[in-house]
Amino acid sequence: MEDAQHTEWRQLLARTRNGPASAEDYNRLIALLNADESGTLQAELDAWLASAEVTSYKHVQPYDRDYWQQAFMDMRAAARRERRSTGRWVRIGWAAAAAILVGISGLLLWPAKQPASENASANVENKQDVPPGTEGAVLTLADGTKLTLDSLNSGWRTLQQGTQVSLEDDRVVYDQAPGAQQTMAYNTMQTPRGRQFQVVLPDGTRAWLNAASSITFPVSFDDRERRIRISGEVYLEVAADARRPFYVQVNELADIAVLGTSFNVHAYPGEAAIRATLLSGRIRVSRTGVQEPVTLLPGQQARVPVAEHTALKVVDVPDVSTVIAWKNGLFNFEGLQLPEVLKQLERWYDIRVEIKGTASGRIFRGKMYRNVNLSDVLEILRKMGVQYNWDGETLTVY
Amino acid sequence: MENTALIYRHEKALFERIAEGDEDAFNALFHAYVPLLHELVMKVTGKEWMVKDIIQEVFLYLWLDREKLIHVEVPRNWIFKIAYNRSYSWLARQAARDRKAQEWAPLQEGAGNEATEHELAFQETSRLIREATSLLPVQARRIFQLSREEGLRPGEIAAELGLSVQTVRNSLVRSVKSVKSYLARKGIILPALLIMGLL
Repeated sequence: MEDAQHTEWRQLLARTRNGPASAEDYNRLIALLNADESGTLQAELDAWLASAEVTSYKHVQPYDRDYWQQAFMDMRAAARRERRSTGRWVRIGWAAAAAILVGISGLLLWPAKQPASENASANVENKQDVPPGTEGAVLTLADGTKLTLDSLNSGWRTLQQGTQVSLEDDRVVYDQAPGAQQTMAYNTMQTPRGRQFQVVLPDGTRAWLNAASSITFPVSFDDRERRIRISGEVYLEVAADARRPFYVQVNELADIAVLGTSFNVHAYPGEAAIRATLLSGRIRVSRTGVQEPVTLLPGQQARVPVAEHTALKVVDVPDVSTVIAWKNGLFNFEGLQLPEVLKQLERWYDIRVEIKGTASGRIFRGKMYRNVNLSDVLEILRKMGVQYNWDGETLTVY
Repeated sequence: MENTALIYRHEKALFERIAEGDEDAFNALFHAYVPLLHELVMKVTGKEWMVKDIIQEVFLYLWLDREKLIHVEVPRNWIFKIAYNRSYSWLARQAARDRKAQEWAPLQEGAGNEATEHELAFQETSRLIREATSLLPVQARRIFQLSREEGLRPGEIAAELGLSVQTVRNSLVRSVKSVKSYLARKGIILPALLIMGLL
């Protein structure tokens, strides 16, 4: 048996080395190698490896550490892409880069209805431009039915467990009839990249969803408390109701307890912390599963680090209007570094962004209208000295 | 010879740290092995442009199955075994593809094929791993993601989630098993680690 296998192994090796073999041969070779407990089959492969002559890999010398470090980072990033799109090393690289402050507030206050420039930069011309995101969302009903709200006309309505659901222009309104049965039937509203949407919850709470965000809520809240789940970026104006506290669960990582108030939660995957900013009223923020909540005052922001075993932090936000700029149709680039700016573009224009090499750590200032074409934004980046290439699908930034 | 023994000891120490989730150790091992694996992949596949892809795939697996690393007697052999596995497996897919291409479109051979295949090996594998991860139960998934994606150690995960370290370790063993059997169902079968006295 052992010998028969060995003979087969040698025949396979002979066949696979004399040019391309069949898929069956390769698969058989793999099966034998995988089952090779003693290591004798692998030893023959190793021996062949040591003797075989291949010249084209000689350029390996000298070892290109930067190239392979990038390959390593890409490999680690791919494994965690759903949660963090850039690797830890990239992050450190950015932080280490000297921060060049660029005051460009005036430049970034771009006119809202600027016609698409005829003489766009060389990088943009002849490449497909991308229109800005618009209103739109997918609504998943309790029974799993998915409705694309773009394709439904304003005025569309349906009844779920006694709650009237209607589409009014750019928002969905849930109207809970008094005494409606309190089944825990949940709906989920989800915006794709490049779309934002508004929903009025059964208790009158208003929620604005930025691009690539979601909110899950019961079709009717019960008598004692109101609980919803969100991810991405959501601005909430919670209807006051002292008898029924309002709880928000963010990415299964942070909890927010609310009593009639307005606040913004920024919780996209791939970012270091969940940020909850209070505009009015009062909220309590805590890491899920950990007691000790912090209470925020208007103008304060709580930062819940995503993975590090770090304490929750509270910072003052000098101008809270920048935090909810998106809700009013603006990009907010205030105080952000290029990777964060690019993340906003990625979500709004539904494009792919790749950061290559070591870009500078410049800090952006100001806001900008979001209803412009990608080429307009790229033009601004170009004027700021950001080097990039746009191939119609991927924006590569150097 | 003394030198070889030293290298083995050094690698065993690295493997122990990697098994605990030490990314710096993992990075060091990566750079130590790239030149060796470069030669291996190049000789087996004959394709320079496949080298990076396959090496990334090999290390993706090592990271996925990293707890096993402490049981490996000769680290080099284990890494090479996975590299052979992935290289021949790429050749098998390539052969199947070429046959199809010949049957269906004899004129469309060449560079186009290679470019498409290039996307596949590593990207496909990391996608499958993410897919398998998403099928895990909520708590197991959370533990697995903190471990494999965020690079936290069992002790850190236990503290973060308020669980015992043993619970975290047990959960990881089950999750890795389930991810690997998912990969196996999708046709990615890796060598099992069979060592005397174990299993």
